[in-house]
Amino acid sequence: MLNKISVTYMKENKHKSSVFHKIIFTISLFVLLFIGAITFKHINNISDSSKLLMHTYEVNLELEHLFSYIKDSENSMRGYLISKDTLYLEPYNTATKNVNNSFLLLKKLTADNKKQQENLASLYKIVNRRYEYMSDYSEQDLRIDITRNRNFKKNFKESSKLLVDIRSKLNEMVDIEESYLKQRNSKYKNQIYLTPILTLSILFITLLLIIFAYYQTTKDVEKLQAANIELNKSQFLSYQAEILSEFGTWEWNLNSGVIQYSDNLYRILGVEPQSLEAGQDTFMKYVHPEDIEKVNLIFEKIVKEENLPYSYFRIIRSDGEERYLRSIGKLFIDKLGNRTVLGVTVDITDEHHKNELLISNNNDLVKANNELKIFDESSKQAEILGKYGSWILNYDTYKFTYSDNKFRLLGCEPQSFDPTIEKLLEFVHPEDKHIVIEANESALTTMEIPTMNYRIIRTDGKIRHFKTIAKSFTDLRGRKSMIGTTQDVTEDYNKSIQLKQRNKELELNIKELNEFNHVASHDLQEPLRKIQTFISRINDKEKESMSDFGKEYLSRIEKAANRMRVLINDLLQYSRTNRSEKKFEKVDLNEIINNSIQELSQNIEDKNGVVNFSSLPEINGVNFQMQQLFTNLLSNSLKYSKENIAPIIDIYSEKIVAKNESILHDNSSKKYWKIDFKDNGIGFEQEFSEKIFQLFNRLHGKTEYQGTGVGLAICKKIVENHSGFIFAYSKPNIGTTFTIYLPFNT
Amino acid sequence: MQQDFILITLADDDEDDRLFFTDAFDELKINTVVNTVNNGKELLSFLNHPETVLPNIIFLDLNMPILNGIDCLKEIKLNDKFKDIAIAIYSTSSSEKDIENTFVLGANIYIKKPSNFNELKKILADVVTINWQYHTNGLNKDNFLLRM
Repeated sequence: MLNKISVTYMKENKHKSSVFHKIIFTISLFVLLFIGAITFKHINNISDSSKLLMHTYEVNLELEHLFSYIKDSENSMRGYLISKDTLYLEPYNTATKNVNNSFLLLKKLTADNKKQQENLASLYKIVNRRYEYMSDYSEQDLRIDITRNRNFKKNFKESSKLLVDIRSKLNEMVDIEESYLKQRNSKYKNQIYLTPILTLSILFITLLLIIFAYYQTTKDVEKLQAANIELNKSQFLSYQAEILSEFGTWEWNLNSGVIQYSDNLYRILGVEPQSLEAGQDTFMKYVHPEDIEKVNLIFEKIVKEENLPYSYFRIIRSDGEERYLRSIGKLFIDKLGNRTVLGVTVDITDEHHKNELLISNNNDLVKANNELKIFDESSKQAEILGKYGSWILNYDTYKFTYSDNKFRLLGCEPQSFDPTIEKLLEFVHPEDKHIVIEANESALTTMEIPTMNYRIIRTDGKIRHFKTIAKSFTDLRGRKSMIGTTQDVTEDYNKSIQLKQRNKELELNIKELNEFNHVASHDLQEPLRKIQTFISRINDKEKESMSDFGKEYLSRIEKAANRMRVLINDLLQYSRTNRSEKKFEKVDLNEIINNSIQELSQNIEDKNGVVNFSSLPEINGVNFQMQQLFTNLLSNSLKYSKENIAPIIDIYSEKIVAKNESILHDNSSKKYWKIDFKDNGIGFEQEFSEKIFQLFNRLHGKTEYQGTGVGLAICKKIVENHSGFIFAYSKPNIGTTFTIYLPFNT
Repeated sequence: MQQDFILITLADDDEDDRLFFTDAFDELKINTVVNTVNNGKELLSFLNHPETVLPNIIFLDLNMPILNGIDCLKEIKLNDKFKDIAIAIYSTSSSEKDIENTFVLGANIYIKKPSNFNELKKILADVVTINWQYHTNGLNKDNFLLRM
């Protein structure tokens, strides 16, 4: 990140300075060009001036030459004329030729000067005239003395005059040239003087610019150096990072096709850094055979799309180990227009293995999560059905979290406010606030709260009864929290109030019943006993003197009184079965049946009855009630035995499981003792099998079989007291089987 | 016993029962002197009367107005003078509770009033002729209630 920033900073700086440099460079270039142009022009001017000077000198020289040639030819002529020696004619001819040459030269030299040309032309005329004179002499007969010729004299004079003319003409021309020379000289001097000043000043400016540019450059260089150091550092860092994070980098120049690997990329392949030539083929050697096609595609992609998205493949390192790699590359275009794909290749083998582990862990988590979700959903439904809400108090943050239903219980939309104790207190019934406050304090100090019952006023204004239980809980990460459940127990509360009221009523009823029992046992028994006693008194003392009619009626009174006694006794026994203390203890039913047989021995004997029983179990029960149960059942069988047929009673027991006995309507695996009392008595229609257990219910007339219809009702009561069941199966004239189920207790 | 007759006192609020009781003894050929009182309070004042010769056996009904049999029994047993008198509980009730209570409080025998005069005679004869010394020594809850 830091590197990136410094790089962009450098870029900007570089950019700025390069523009600056360009400006300075351009200015310097222009200045130099300007200096060059000026200098060139000045030098040109100077050379022109010197050329002109030279020209002037040449012209002057040539004019001097011309004059000397003319003089030479004059001299030669004179010599010839004087000596008449033709030897002198030779130099004359040479001089004349030279004069001509000189003229030609001068003509050339002064070609650009009209005035000099004119002067030259007039000079030529004069010289010509002079030569006309001289040539006259040369062709003269040498024997004639022309000196004596008048014409000659006149001509001589004339030619001397012409010579003067030539001279003056020449001088005139020299003068003109000299004036030119002067003019040019002054111009030349002027230029010679200006040029260095201009050149120097421009040079000076250029120097200044260069110094400034140098200063700027030095500054830039410093900056560049600093940037370079940063770059070096980051390069070093990235080098370390490569080793540490097991990644290597590569560059693929798309223009040249050159591929470069970082040191660590070689290490990833398991070879010494830079020990191989980087390239597609080199790399392919290490690619896992199954992934070769994949990697080829990757290479194609790099070239084609100039980009490489995340790609995964395997290699086989030089040491033969299979490693998982991941590559990514991006196109980078530098300022030179080089298109390079810069890439990173990471060894993700460890990560891959971790990932595999993570994936399997994740699968487990997903599964667990799924189960949790199901559980969560079902608990949500349970909360709604069970009218309870749950909450969590986090001890780290002291924040509450409510379940949706907890909000609903308060009459609010789920998660409609931030749950806090203060917020909760707003709902709590004013009279119950102290309960919640105390519980909260206890939760914060001791991390425990007692089960609390309090009322709240719901948003709809209804008062509801809440019950809260909570427990502190430490989760797997060691965070402590209190998890609580709050239930709306209003209905239960109402029911319990109802129940209490009913209980009160019931208690009152029982009290009344007890009082009735008291009345029955004492106040009813007492007059009856007296009636019976009086009857016995009359029977003893007055029977003899009574009429038959009186005796008959007295006997009926006695019977009715006796029956009343039986009824009252049975009734008392029945009510005592309900009321008596139920002291459960181990009861050996073998002992019980023996006692019952003992008790009924007279009865059994009278009827020649037989009671068979195999080994009976020991059960948990109330001893005297069991006794009564067995006695009642036995006596019932004896009572309803067939006339003239000896009663046979078989008693047998077995251990059973509730679900196997359809009559119990119980699918549980609860175990019972099943005890059958089977007789060969008169039996009854099966339809009465339930009726016979009702109080005071009788299937037979009182006169046929004595009984109050309480005995079997007592039996049923006793069995029910023992959480058991009693059923009767019967067929008229065949017999009855009473089946008792008593819970199996070990 | 120095007297040749047995002194018997019955405390019972029921007039009929008192009649049966005295009739029964009248018909029995045993030398007894029977006197009756109407309730516990009368019994105690009778016993405390200086001229009274203490009875040999007291028959005590449980259900009595003013002072019932149980409280009366307690008073008698608290008094050193009376505590050695044989006490026969004579009640219509045969509830376990009453039997247990009176046994614990030191009664000597428990009689359930029969509903037949001949039975009554037999019971009273049995009780009066019991050797109290032996009976009291071997007394337990099972033989406390006199069974016919």
